[in-house]
Amino acid sequence: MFIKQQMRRVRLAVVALGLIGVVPSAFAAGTDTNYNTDISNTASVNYSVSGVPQTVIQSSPAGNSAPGAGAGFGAPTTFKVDKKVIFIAEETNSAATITSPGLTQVVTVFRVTNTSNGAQDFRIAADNTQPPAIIFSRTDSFDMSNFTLHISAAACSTSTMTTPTYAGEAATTFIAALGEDACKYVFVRSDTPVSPTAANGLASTIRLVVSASTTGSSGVTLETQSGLADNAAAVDVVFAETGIADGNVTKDGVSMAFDQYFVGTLTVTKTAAVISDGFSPVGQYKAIPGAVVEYTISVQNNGLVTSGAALTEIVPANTTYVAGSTTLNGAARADVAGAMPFIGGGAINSPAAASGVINPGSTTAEIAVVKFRVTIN
Amino acid sequence: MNKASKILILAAIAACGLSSQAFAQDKGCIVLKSVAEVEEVTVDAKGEKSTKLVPAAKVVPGVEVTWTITANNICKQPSDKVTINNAVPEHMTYVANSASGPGTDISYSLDGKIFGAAEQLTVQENGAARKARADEYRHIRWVFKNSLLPGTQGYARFRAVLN
Repeated sequence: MFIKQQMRRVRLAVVALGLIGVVPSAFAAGTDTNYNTDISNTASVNYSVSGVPQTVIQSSPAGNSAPGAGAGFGAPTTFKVDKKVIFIAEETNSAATITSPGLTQVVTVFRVTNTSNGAQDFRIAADNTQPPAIIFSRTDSFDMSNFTLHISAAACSTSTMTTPTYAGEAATTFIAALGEDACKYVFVRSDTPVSPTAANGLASTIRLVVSASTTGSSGVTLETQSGLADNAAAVDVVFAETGIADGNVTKDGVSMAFDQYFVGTLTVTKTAAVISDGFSPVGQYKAIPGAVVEYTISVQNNGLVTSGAALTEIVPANTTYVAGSTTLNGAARADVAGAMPFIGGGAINSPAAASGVINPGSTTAEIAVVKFRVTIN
Repeated sequence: MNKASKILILAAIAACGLSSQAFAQDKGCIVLKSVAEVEEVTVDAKGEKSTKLVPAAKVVPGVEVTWTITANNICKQPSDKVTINNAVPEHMTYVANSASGPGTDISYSLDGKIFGAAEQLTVQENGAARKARADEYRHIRWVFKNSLLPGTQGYARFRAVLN
């Protein structure tokens, strides 16, 4: 800063004299001039009277005729650069966050990017307000509650969007002094209602609202756009955001983004197939007395990683369990007290997962499959 | 760099002092005034647009500012060889073809040393000379073709956009 001011002074002096000097070329392009910067300009005039060259005269805002070059002669014409507030709130991963009925403090992630001409404070808040059009192809079916906001300690890049993991950051309601062309990830945490309000396949869309607030006000005082009259000596505020997605309004000092929670639970599918009847050829087995029927129970996790997943099954009426016929993911599961092992409830899991753990996903590596056989009485 | 510049200035001041006949004079013959304004577009009742210049208000990056320099001759003799120099202010970029001044020859400079007409300025880039772009001009000079008569005013104007 000190060096910059020095340079400016030097430069003005050189220019004013209208003589030679080493003048730095234009300052770094691509970065907006920061608000509160003074833009100064001094013109100079050289002239002669009756053939005699006269001392240079430097300009002033009101007009100056006192000859002389350098500081103290004339006065620079100056105005302050005003604040052009531009920023955007964005959802980070274009996908819903999976939750479960009754699950609390479920984290979803947004990014807030400031492209104003200088640092800017922001108020942040989250609620259940809906966008004009549904997102992620799912209608909003229930409300989340108990919203808290947290600023990620993770590095934020304005060019590459990531979705950092919540790491215990404290709750807050504002972002202080977000630098020019800088960003922060904001975690929104909220609680999922219990079943049946939140049920498998239902979604809740939530909103993050980011509003420009005055420096040092901890998000309490919002920036207001200055009226028509400009104060050349003060920093005025001009709202300049242009985003119109999801109901955003341009130039209002507010940017909002939406994200979604999606309830995923376990789905259980049960099929039966006759695998022999003692009479028919292969492929034509009938469910006649004495025929062997194999039941296949598939448990798929559409939500979060489970623990303690257990299956309780019964042997259907008018059938008899085939001793030792039960398998879990293709591996034999020993009978319990001479009976089908899931009658009293038994832990299940994805192939290669620990007991009780079913990993989310729809492939054979994730779906838990229980099979057992009965004969028809 | 800084020190070197200072020395240059000192040299310049010395040179100026030598050639100047009226260094200690309280009042010169020209009142020089510089004003910063922005264009304000108004639409009247008939829906016709008009543009007027108002004092530089709400200047944020991307806004064009019009700088107007006026020179009034307040002496009883004509002023000759009137030359107005103005650097494009720091943080601003000259707007192409925006410099004007009735009865003046306008020249530009990239470094404040070599002035020339727009088409004469060149920049060395990758070992080859190319024509300078208007946004590279850092200095503007207006040379009045005729004497500025007593009681009359000359003016020079240019626009620059805030970076």
